[in-house]
Amino acid sequence: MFSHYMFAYYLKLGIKHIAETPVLSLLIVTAIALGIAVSMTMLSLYHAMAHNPAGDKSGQLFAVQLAAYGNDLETWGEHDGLPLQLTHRDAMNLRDSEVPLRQSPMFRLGMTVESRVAGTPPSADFDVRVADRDFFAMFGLDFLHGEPWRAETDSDPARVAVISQRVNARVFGGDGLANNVGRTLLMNETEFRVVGIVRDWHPLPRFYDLNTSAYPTTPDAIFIPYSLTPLLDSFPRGNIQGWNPEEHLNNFAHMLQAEVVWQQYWVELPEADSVTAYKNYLAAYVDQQRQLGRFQNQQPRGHIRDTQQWLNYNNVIERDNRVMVGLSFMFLLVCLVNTVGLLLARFLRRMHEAGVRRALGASKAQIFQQYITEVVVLGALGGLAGLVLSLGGLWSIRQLYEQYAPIAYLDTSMVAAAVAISLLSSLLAGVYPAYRACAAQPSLFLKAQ
Amino acid sequence: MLKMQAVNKVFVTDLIETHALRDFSLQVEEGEFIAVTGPSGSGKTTFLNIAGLLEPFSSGSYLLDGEDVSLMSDNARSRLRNQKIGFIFQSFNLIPDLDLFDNVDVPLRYRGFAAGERRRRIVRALERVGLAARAAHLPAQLSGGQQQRVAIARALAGEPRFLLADEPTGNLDSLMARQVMELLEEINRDGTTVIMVTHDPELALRSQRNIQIIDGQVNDFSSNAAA
Repeated sequence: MFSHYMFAYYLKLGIKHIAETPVLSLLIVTAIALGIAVSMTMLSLYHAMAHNPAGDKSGQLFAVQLAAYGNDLETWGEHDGLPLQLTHRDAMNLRDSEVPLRQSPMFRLGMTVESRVAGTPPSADFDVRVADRDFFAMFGLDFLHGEPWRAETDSDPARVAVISQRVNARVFGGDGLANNVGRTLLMNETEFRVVGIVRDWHPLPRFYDLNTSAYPTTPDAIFIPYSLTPLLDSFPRGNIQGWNPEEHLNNFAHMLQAEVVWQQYWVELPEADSVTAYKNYLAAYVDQQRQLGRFQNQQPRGHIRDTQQWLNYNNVIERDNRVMVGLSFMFLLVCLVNTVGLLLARFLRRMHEAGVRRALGASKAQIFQQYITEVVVLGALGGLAGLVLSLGGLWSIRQLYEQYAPIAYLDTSMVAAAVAISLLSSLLAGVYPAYRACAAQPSLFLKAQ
Repeated sequence: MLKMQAVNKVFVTDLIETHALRDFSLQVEEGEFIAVTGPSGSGKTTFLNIAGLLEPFSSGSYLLDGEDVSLMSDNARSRLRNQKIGFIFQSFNLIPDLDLFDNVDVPLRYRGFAAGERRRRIVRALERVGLAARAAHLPAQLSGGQQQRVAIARALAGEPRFLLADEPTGNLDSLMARQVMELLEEINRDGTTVIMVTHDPELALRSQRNIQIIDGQVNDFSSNAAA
């Protein structure tokens, strides 16, 4: 039986042996640490990339797509003929549906905001999300002060804004927690009234807008009503794609009417019935548009994907990343094979001691437990060193690859995984050497010292 | 209390079968001091290893305190060895990186004694062999005779019923050998059964009973007391 009493004894012996054989112990710890460091660095990156920030609402939030291109002309190049974004015209039309619990068209702008704080640079550039009021409740933004703009503002435009804590601090000073609702914000030389202040929000991957990068370094920091779109006269930050080579965008007003896609559209459908109803609604909408002369392609259709499906569809995790994780675990395996060899050398050198202990009353199981405890101590040290090296590895990735900078960090679940993997892998590496040490006939090692 | 009946031990390799013990039968009563002699390779150590439950045997029966050890699991044999048998080896077999205190502690740990009880037994055993003052020393800091006395203290700490000694004076000069022998005799007088393998006819004569092993068989019994 593996009692606490004996565990404490084995632990004492293990630590003593490790201290008495520093070189061999260091080699074993290094082998485990290197394997853990490489695998945890890659796994952390993969884990962050595979994160679904929508959480519990993942299955209720859907991205909308429409096969809205004309016949005999180029498609947008998507493998299934479905563009990733919508035209402004379609986005405006879809807002009329009463099926979704919440919905919002959206796009991203860059705007220059003037600071009111003396002694700081006079202006700063921020990413601005143009969306409907539902955006905040749909994606769960946390209001520190104020609230979203009124529902009427979605149809009757008003120059109002919800700003993040970071913008609040930059524009009005302080730590960003002060209530500056009602104050005025000067953006692109136009005044906006602050109606709400939200806690900084930076979901990664930025699932609701995967244009340009799934892992942007700058989050959306200001939110303004979608109803202002015709008045903005500002091209979006993101992709603009069109299928009609005859169509040239002369100005922003033209883009609002053109068959070019540049806006995202999300709906919240909490129940299966509403999902079916919305699919029917999209089918009817496509038919209606065909009758109006649009959507003249071979497969006119609408499509919705929930958040996880949307992330998969957009290949947020590239195949290369999966391969890298696989390779890193193969490297861990190589390190473990080396560890097995080193542990064999360590334990077989102490066969005499095992023989003496057996003669004095230790069972095979007790010798096995003693050696496995020592392996666990070595594994814990290797895991700890591996974690430190992983932090270094992730730091290097942040320096080398800007696109991974926001996500190349160890979170608590990855720290727990590193501890678990290091203990499990060292146990695996230790089983055979410990078995060899305990299975030998003790009498063979007692005759000569 | 130790009874072997027609015990055989065969070592098998790819090329050859070696019969280390053949129809080996022996009964040892409580409190005896037995010297086991015989030429090299005759099976003395094999007998001692089987008697000490360190090696399995090929056939026959072996009862230790009435218990048939051939039917026991490794755990049960280890427990029995720990509780009833003490070993003394020619090469002492102390664990070199443990001090004397911790060396004597080893069998007591596997017995599961509480810390206070272990300490009491260790101190008493080391006092008995005259080395209590050197409890914190490592084995390498002692002479051969002192190391063997530590090994005896380790064997005694668990208060075994049997003491199995494999040429305990083989590595010692005559003075130290005599001291160790006197210690073994004293232990025997206190009631512990001692079975000692030796090459030394003089030491064999000091035992109560001398058995010879030749070619794996008990060849001759003699009672030194009667002789």
